[in-house]
Amino acid sequence: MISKKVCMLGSFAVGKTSLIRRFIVSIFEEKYQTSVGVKVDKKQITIDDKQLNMMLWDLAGEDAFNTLQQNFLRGSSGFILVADGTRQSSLEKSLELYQRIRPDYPEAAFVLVLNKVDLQESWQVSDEQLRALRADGWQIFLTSAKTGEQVELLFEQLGRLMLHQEIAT
Amino acid sequence: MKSTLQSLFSSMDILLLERIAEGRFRVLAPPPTWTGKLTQTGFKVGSEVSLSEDFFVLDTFFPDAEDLWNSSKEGTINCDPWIQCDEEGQEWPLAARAIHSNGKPLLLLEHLGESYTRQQQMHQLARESMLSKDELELEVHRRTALIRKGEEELAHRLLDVSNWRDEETGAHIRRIGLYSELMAKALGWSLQDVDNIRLAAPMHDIGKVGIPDYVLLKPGRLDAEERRIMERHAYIGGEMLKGSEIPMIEMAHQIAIGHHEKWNGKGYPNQLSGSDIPIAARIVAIVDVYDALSSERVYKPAWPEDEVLAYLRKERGSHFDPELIDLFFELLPEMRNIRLLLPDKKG
Ligand SMILES: Nc1nc2c(ncn2[C@@H]2O[C@H](COP(=O)(O)OP(=O)(O)OP(=O)(O)O)[C@@H](O)[C@H]2O)c(=O)[nH]1
Ligand SMILES: [Fe+2]
Ligand SMILES: [Fe+2]
Ligand SMILES: [Mg+2]
Repeated sequence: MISKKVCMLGSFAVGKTSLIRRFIVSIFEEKYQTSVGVKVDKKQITIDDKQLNMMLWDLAGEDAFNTLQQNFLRGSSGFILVADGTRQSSLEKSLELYQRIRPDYPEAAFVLVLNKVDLQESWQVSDEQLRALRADGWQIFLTSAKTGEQVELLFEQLGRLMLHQEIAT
Repeated sequence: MKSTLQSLFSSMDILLLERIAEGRFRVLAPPPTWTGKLTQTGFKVGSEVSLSEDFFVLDTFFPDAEDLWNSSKEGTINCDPWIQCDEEGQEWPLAARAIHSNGKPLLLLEHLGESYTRQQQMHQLARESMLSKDELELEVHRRTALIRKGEEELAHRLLDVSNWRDEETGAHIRRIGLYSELMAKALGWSLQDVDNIRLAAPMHDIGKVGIPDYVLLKPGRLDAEERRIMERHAYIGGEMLKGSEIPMIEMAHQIAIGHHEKWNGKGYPNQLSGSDIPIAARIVAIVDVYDALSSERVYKPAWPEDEVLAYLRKERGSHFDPELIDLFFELLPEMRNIRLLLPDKKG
């Protein structure tokens, strides 16, 4: 079976752990428990009749107290840059991380996630901004780990992207 | 001596290994109990092991560790913590350290236990406080944005009331706001106040709602009595806008009542002079005259620019605040731009 490593990256408290938990065990936890260090989960999915083993690396959010440990990224085929749609600063953080990482992973698949889409009343990312990002070539998913919106789709699409790269290389 | 060191390692929950080849390690000290939970083969002192199966996270660390072990340097590098689950689902926070000491390549695997919990709690606190600060800031922003929106709406409604019967065009009204904004910015006003004058200045003639049509709409020159009636618009505007707790409206009040006062005290309605006239009103006095003279009206053609400027210069220190006139001339190119961008609609 094909196995692929995927890293969840982004600012703290954007929902990286919650998205993985929703995807793997269909549970959502309101209480915030910050991650320290990295934790790896696995899930097998079927994409267009192909079995794919996804290794999901949940990395600690980057902030003033914690810088991303680059060595954990080694061997990644995909990156999910997670931002919290109710915190504009977290989107900037994601794009900054992308700038930093991309040169080392020119072949990898990158997708952008704006999580917490269920919190419409505090949503901060404008449609215009989304359009501009899409025009820049970003695949964007508007997810909610709380309701499950677009969560399956996100991992499936990323899986598909990585499989295509497998074929291409 | 050696055995005490070894038991020290195992009591500290540390697995001590020596690197013997790339990807191969020898267990040097009695392995702590958690190794049994996390490995399939079970580790014994002296056994040779590969760690990639059981501790696959380490594969991301080994390239850096190999660099150290293969170098002539002595030293230590650390791998950040990771969490590993055993068969029963219990989580074990681990960390690794590569050491090159006395030519010996060593690897330490450590169960973090309590120290991990403490670190987690510290990060939790720090991040929660950053989040609540973010949230507060956002809330403040949201509220101010809401207030600003309300104020703008109010300003537009007030203008609608007066505008429809004035001979002055909508474009004039908007230009006055922009010229004033420009002056305020150049004076180094706060963003709030700059915003305020942009909204407030267009209301300078709001008091004209109270002027009867036969005066307001008279095509020719006004006689003395009619002029006296017309001049009441400043006072009426001041009354309309007075007593507000909203700073923008308070500024609009000062502008409405004060924009026909003159620096030399010969204006109306209160014959204020110099800096007794609120600065917002002194600014609007200049840009209002500049724009009115430059524009065509039913009773007069537009003046050529050099005549307008000559007039403003002549009135420096009599009608107008001399320093503000100087500032106006500095900003003249930008003033012209505003006129170009927002011209009067013909017909
Ligand atoms: N309403 C809502 N809350 C969410 C969503 N996703 C996560 N949260 C909440 O946001 C907080 C942070 O979620 P985590 O999944 O721990 O975030 P993280 O990115 O793993 O954070 P770090 O580990 O600190 O980097 C938690 O309180 C979650 O309950 C979502 O889609 N909607
Ligand atoms: Fe006036
Ligand atoms: Fe005017
Ligand atoms: Mg987390």
